[in-house]
Amino acid sequence: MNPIIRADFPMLSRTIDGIPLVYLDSAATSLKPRAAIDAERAYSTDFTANVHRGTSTISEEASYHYEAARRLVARFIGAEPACVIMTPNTSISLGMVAAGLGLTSEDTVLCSPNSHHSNLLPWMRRGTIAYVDGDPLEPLDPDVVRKAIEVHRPRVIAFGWVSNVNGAVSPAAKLCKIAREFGVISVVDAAQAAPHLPIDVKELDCDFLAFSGHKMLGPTGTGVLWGRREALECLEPLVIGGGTVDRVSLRDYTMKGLPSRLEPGTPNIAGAIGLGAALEYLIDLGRDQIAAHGRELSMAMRAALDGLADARILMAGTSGLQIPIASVVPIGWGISSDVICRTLSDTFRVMTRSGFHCAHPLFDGQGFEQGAVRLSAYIYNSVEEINLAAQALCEIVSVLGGRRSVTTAYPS
Amino acid sequence: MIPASDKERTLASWHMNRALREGVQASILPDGIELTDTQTGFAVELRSGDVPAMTSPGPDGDRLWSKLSLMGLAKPAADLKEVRRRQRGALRRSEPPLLDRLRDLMARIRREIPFFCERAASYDPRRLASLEDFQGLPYLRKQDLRANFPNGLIPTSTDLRAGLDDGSLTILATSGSTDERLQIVTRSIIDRLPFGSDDLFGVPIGGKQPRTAFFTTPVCASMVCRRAAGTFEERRSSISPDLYLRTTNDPFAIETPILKSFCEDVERFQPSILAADPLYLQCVVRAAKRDGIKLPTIPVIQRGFEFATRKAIADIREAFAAPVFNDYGASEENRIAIECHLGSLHVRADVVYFEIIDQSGPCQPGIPGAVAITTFDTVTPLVRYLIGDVAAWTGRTCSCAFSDWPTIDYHGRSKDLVRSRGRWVTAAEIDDAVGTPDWLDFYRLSQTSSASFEIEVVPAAGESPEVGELSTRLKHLIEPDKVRYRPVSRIDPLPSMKIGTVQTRLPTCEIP
Repeated sequence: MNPIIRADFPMLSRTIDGIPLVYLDSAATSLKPRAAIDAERAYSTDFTANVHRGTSTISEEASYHYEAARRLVARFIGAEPACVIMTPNTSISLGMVAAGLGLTSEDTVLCSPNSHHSNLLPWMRRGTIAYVDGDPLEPLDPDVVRKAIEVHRPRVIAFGWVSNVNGAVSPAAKLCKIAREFGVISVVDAAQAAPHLPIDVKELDCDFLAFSGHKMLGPTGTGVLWGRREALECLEPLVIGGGTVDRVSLRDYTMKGLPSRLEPGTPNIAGAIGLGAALEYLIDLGRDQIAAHGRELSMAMRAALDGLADARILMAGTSGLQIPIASVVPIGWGISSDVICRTLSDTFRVMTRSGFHCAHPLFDGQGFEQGAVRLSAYIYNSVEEINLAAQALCEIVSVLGGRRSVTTAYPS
Repeated sequence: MIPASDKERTLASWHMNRALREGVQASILPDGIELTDTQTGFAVELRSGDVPAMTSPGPDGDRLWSKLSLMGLAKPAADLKEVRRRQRGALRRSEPPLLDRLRDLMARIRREIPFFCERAASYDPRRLASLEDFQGLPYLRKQDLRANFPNGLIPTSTDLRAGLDDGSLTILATSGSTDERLQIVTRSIIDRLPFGSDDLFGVPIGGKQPRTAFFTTPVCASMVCRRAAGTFEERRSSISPDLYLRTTNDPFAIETPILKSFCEDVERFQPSILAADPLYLQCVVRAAKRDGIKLPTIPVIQRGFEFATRKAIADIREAFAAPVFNDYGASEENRIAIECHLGSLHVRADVVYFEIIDQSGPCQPGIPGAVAITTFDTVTPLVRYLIGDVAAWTGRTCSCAFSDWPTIDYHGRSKDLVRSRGRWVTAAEIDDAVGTPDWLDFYRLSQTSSASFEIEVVPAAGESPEVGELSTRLKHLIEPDKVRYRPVSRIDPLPSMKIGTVQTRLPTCEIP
């Protein structure tokens, strides 16, 4: 990736104690380029008005920019704009689907064992969960998924395309094809995939796809739910209100068509416009280049963390697509991952995330009681930064590291 | 000197156990005998050469027994308070002069601590002929602690991994926000109170480590103690007689179950001391009044964690009918100064060397300045560490039993200094001016520009804000036309979840 783009990210000029920071927490939220910041700000400074609420000059300008953002999202994923629903985040998008399908406890939802809580809890609440067998640190195996569908006969399969813990990439298109064979509704959590992988919903052939804008250079509070048109039209809205109806009488109402019927109330207009600018920025960079840079960072991450003592490194294998996400699990340390994260931050100015990464079942199943420190890189990161972070971890291990068994393992 | 034989030492131990006060145990060491007062925690080691004198009559024996009596270790049994008083005197007599302690510290740190080894030339004990020489040493700052945590700041001989593993060492994280926060390695068990605190508080609080219940902000409770949400048993410390009380995320709307839990836990635990954030505890008092709940009885309340207003102290004292003492400490050293029953805040001269400085050097009594501490007894030694507080020497000698420890007035945090009428104004000066009007419960003054201030005021229940009165009280510090008053029902906590009484949007000064 051209290092010049680093200048586009104001946060990268931020210093702590006079030293520039290294930001390796993009899987939680990415940094924002000036283009996205400016576009978001422009709504508040240049054309503040509600959208689709009138015919004033400014309102029409605001509506134009908001819809332009939707068209950019559609272009980004190869979709029809009307099927792009602007939401606050992936969690809400998935929750909308779970709530809108009219599930009962009789309905089985097949989930991936590496699922983020946001792709578990809505299904737990509405239906009965079954899990695809297998190692949660590995990509889903299509054969195992097929077998699970045959056994459980689910109404829905909901899976994470890319693991937020170790970056493992499941073969989403193959899985959706299997689901379709069985008439199972497929829901793809693309929160970690959308920032890194080229997406074409036609090729993917899923029923629903959800992702967040803030993990891909957009403002926080922005997300997307895409659905197959007929699937979205059948989806019962979670909330109805202003903007979702064509006409209301004293006793009845008529719903608008897509996408409005699923966007109640005033949307996050500034955020959506910022997201549009962020996606334009990514499109200009080139999806293939982004993926290639991600591969380079992944390889650097793997090489730099390989052999780190007193830790288990959770990182997807080298056989498939490479996403620069790795979790460092302290083994036998007398401290939690929070202390490691704080030390990386305060002593080495490396920003990471600690804890259980909204994946309690995975951590419980593996017996990782101290959680893990996750390093996640993105387009603005360099190999040097990855090496610096790994060197910092080595130094921390040398002082705070565990005293018991040492395991450094990558899945094949 | 001929070393005592095993037989001699055993015999001496037997004799001593008969002549020693109840609760004092003699145990045989390879080269002497250790006497431990199990009731007070005091311990003294007698060298091998002293052993014959323990059993043989004569002047040497008389001298030894007289010495032990002075330490409160020999029969007849004295009142425990008196025993602790005598033992405190013995500890004090055994302490080397300050300059020697500082020289020893410097010799040790430049030998053992990487940060100081790299700067050994600045910490040469041979160049320390007076305290004035010490004032020429560089300051240590929070960013130094952040940049060198953890291995740069602890002795190379310390096995940190082993210490964390066996629980003898702990990593404490401060509750500060971005530019303030830090982590520090500390011993897991530290005698929080000075030896013989009965005399200090004027209230019997029992043995060496009194049972203490902590009530503080959720940030402190979760990051430092990590027990805030657990059951009663989970909130008990496994290494000290402490309990961490459930806290609240919204001090201005404490829910009744939290309040009831506070009262029930205190009743059940029966602490000798309640150590609390004073503003949070004041909120408990308000909530108890609101719900008509009687607060439990506590012998002593120690306030810490954040600056206490006079009003908070008055409300707490009245509601709990207990003395409220300041316990000034920090994550980096939690034993900086402690308030006695006569109201003096004594510097803990046993464990810190305390300096108050301004731009021109050491401050005269009554002049607030930045606090720099040097610690004698920490895993992470600090030398002239700017802790981020402002204080002033009182210049008064307290008449309590700790009169040889100098006294200070605590003025608040350096980052909370505001600039008005051409000078820096401290949180304590503002609070002194505000006083304790009946109508006022809480306030927070914010400097919003070089010439504008805002004061949020939370009136007492059923009272109306008398901003005119407040304006008059403050006018010698801040011109009335520069202040905007805002009556509110709550004050939003700071990022550290403390409530705070003063803040500024302007850059402030490290050393006023």
